[in-house]
Amino acid sequence: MSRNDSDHDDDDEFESLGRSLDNQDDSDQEESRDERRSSKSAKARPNKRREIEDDDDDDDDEDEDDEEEEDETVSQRRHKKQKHAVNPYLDMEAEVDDEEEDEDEDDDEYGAGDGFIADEQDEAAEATRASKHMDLDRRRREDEDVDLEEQAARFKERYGRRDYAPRRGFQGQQEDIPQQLLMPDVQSPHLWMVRCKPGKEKDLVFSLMRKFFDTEYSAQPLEISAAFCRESLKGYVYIECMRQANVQAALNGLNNVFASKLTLVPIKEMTDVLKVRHKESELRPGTWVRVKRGKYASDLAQILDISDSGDSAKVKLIPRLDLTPKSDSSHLGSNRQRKPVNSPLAGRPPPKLFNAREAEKADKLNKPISRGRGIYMWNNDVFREGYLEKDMKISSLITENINPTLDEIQKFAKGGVDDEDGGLDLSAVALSAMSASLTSHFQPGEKVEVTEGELKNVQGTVDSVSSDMIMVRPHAEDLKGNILKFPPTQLRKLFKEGDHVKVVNGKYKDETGLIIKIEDSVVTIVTDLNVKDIQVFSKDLQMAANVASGTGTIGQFETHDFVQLDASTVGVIYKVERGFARVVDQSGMTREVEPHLILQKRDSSRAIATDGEGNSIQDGDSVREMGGGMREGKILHLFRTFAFLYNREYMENAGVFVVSTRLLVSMASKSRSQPGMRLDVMNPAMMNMNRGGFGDRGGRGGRGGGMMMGRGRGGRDPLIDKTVTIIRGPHKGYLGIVKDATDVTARVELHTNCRIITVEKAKLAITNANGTTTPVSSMDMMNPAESPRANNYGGYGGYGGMTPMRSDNMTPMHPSAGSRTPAWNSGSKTPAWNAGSKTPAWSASARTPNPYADGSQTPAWDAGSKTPRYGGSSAWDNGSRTPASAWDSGSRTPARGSAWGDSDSSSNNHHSNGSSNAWGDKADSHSGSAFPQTPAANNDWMSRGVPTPGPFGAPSPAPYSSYPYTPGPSSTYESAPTPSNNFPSTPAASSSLGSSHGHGSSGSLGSNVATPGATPGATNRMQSVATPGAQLTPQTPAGPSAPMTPASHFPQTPFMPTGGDYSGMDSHHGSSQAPGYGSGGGAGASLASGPSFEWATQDIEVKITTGKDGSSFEGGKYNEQSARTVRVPPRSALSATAVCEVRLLSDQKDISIPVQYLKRVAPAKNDGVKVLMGEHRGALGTLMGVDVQDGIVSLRGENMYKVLTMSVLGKYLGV
Amino acid sequence: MSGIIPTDKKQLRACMLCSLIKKQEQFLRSGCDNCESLLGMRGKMDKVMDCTSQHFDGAVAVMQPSESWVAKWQRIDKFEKGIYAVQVQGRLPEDIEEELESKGFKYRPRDGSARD
Repeated sequence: MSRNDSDHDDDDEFESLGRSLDNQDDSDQEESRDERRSSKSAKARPNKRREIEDDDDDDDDEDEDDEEEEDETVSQRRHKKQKHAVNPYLDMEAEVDDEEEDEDEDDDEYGAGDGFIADEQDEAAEATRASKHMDLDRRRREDEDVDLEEQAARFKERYGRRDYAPRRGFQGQQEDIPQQLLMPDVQSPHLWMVRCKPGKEKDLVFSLMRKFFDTEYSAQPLEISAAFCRESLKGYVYIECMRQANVQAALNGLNNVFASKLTLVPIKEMTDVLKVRHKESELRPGTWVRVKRGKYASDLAQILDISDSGDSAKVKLIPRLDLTPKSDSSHLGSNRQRKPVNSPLAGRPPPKLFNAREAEKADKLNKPISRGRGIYMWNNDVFREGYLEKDMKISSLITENINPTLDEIQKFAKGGVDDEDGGLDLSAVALSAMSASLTSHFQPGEKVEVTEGELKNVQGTVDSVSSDMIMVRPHAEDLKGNILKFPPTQLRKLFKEGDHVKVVNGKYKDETGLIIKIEDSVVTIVTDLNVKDIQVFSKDLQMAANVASGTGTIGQFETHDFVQLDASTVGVIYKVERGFARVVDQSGMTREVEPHLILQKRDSSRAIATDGEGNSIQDGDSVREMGGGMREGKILHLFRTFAFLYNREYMENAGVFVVSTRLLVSMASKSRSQPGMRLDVMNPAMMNMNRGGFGDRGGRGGRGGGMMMGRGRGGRDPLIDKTVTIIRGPHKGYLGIVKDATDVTARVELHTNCRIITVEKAKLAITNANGTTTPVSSMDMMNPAESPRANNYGGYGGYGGMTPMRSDNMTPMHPSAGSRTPAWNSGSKTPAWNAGSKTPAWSASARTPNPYADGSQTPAWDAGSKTPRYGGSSAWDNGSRTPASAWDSGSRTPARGSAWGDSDSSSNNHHSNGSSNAWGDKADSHSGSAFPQTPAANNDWMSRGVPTPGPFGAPSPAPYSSYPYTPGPSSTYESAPTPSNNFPSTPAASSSLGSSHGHGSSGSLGSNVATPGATPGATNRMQSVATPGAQLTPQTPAGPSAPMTPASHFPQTPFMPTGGDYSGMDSHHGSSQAPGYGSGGGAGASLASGPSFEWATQDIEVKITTGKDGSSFEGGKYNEQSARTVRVPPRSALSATAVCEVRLLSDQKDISIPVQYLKRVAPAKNDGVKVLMGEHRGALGTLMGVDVQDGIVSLRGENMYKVLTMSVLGKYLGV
Repeated sequence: MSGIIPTDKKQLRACMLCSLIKKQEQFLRSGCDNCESLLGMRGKMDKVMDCTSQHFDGAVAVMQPSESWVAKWQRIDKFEKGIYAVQVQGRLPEDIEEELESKGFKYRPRDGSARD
């Protein structure tokens, strides 16, 4: 049987039931009684019927009837039932015909209020039905074995449950029972209050219900009639039953309940527990709410409409749309902008009214669709008049304590619910805003008016204020003497026009003014301060007698403060308002600035300017404008040539205005002397003069001069803006630009990552235009003893206006560094110096040692000393003297050693060896000026001591070339300390090899040669030997020391370029010195010989040059020829005269040549290299790159790059 | 029987006519146990949304409606045993209200606005 049929059967059954009722059939008596009881109202009848039918769907009934028996009526019934049953399996076509009829019938049923089936039938049907009834009756009776009672019970069981509630529940009569009659009485069950865990109330109620159903048919059913909880009564569950024991039984086994605490609720209070507090539908269209979450979190919204269910509302928002144009690729969906971001508040777009054109621009693929005037659809959102209309769940809205500010509300002023008025209905706004008012807004004594309830419009005076209620003493005669309680929301403050009030809340807080207009809760005030109309809520007002003077402060700033707005803009605050300050800047423009945008407060109290007549003016002076406005004012602040004046008589900008100081004339006559001084200070031109003068004075002393400028203003560290290389420390090798410098440190912006780091100056080397570097010695190198002083002076002479510090650092390097950096040169030295001192001198000296000592040196020193600055300065003398003395005494003393910074072991050796005689001699030979000039010499020495590393390690081939050639001790000297160093770096130097050579000899020769008798060792030899090379070999007495020396020198080399490691140098020198001393006179020589030729090894490219002593191999016919070393004596046998076999690259001719005439050729990038010294000695590789003094070498057989000093690399010509 | 009890506390809604609390899906599946004949919510989501509210206060477990004073006071003493709300926010949609009216029922909102 089909589903349909079964329904049908049910229907039949029902029909039979109905029939039996109609007929008052005995067999159905009980049933019918039941029916009638429940159908006191006729309406209940169809209800019930449908109920039954609905249920029938599910039941396949046992009763069966012949289909043929069905008449029309029955089929009608069935259709009706089917309609309600909503059976998806129904054949819908079957009921189409009758649908209309059905509905009519429905109407009949309800409209007539007649539920009885019989009455519904029309006459025609009645007849047919009668016959059917007969039939059924007959069948029933035939069904004899079925007990009537049983049958009734069966029906009852089947339909009993749902019989009655619906019908009775909705009977009108019970609605009419006033609640008073429902009050509990003594017969009512008791109500027990049970403590439970807060938050678990509902669970408990549910559990009890479940428990009840579980035990309903058990031996011990729960004997409670009800249990409930309220949201407002947290932590309590109420149980209704007759006996306390029942409660305990019910709660037995339940969690989260504290059954030990049972409280009986008194009958009187029972209704209170269930009191329903009607919230005057708190949300109405027009109410202000805030959004709880999402993009619009805490945004103000206005309710436009509330859904019938009350759980969602259409709200009006100011849209926050992402109108940044989207690229097509990123535009994945129309809803992209609505996708929740991780933190929706971070970077959410600002609220802005919707603009169709902008939207179109932002998203070309998705144009807003116009839906009538001012209405657009865009991205599934509706925008009306620019506002977003959005359906939101009320649970996602904050509805309490909204406190919208008038400011916020005004943004809604356009369009919206009140747009017919063409603007915002403030009173409506006020109404909703009022609801948020607090008792704290009211103060005793204030006049109020009741706005809601029975006592609406009653006026009174606030008597007292409690936490949530306000006691009001009404004015009305008949209420006199009573004190009435009101919640703050039902009151509004009452003001009269003309009252003087103060705003206590909101944007205009602390403004005072007179009320000029009152519209409900919105009050218009003319403010005292700026005579402006403002609108505020009456709740935010208070009667006030005083006149506000304005708050005057905002954050740390106050009115008339002088503030820096950006790097180039300053201004004066002329008015402080809520949240921002109004500022007039130096150009006279006004702007509103939020306090956080003010960079700093400036102080102009010490600033002085000159007025149009040259008088000095300063803060506080009264001045008058010359010509023009003739405005007068008091100077608030001065800024360069701008004066901020204040005159309270001017309304504009609260009396603050800007005038150029030149257009002002001071109204007070003042003495000019006092400002004169200060004007100098102020005047940059003066500064310059000072600077210039300083240079002229030269000797005035760097420090003294420097003080004038201070370190700050005038004295800019010359290091600033120089490109430097960091040569030590963790950042070694980094290139950067000096951004700032102090005495000892510099802030270097690294090229590599734009980071600014602070580095000691000692760790820096200036990178010159030609790629060489100059170490920046640090102060402390110079400090010891007097020499720095001399340097200072020298430096000053040279530098003119430069900071002393710089000169300190640099001076020692003059000879060396000066020549290198063009900038340096120009900055520091006079051309004369350069030219005079070096080029000619060196080159000249290069040839003959002796002449050199005289010739070469002298001009240098002389020139140096004679440059106008040097010579002219008295300082010079001082300076010169000091070092001189230092020199004399100190040369031998340790102090001296230190004072000159490690001034080379060689120098010491030299002196010790050569003894003072040598110097004396030298002095003679040098024309006596040598010593007085010592400062220069001094410098020179210093340069040895200090800057040596630079030159030493300097990668330029020159120094190296000098090594091989310098045959003897002299070479050491020279190569290490003095000119040779310089030369390598000087472009000129490299070319004038000879000069370096010569110079080298200058040191050594000066000592050695000049004092022949004095020094037995080196000097003698030097003297005797015309060709140094030959001589020296025998001479180097310190065979043993030779191996040492290299150690002392070469290991250093890597450090030297780094420039800073003087201590290292010291120790090296010290160590080398020791043997030097030990070996006596030969020390110098020994020092020299070792390092000079150790580089010599096979298969590297060399150049044939003149020797250190100026001699040439075979008359110099091979000079400047490139060759490849073929055979080199063993390392231990290497000395200046050791003969190497080399093959000329030009004609492949093998020649034997003393090593001293060979010069190593520095490899270029990508050349094959051979490591000449150090732990990798002999290793082969490729030079991958050159970084200042370091070469990056890929060694054969090693995967990693090695960073090796260029000085240890030779150009490898092998395979 | 237990179909009338919410299975958990999520998505609970209360019938705005009788204040019965059930889960939304329960309303959808079987309608309101008391009001189905009038409201016909079964299977009709929009009806469920219209006639029930998720904003309600309190929960009353009515075990013996006829005996309970609480049920009487709440005017739910003729209804099924089950869990009811003390107060339901929102009203039936006006058309449904009118329909009820036409059937002779005076709708008594459960949101506390009804006065005696």
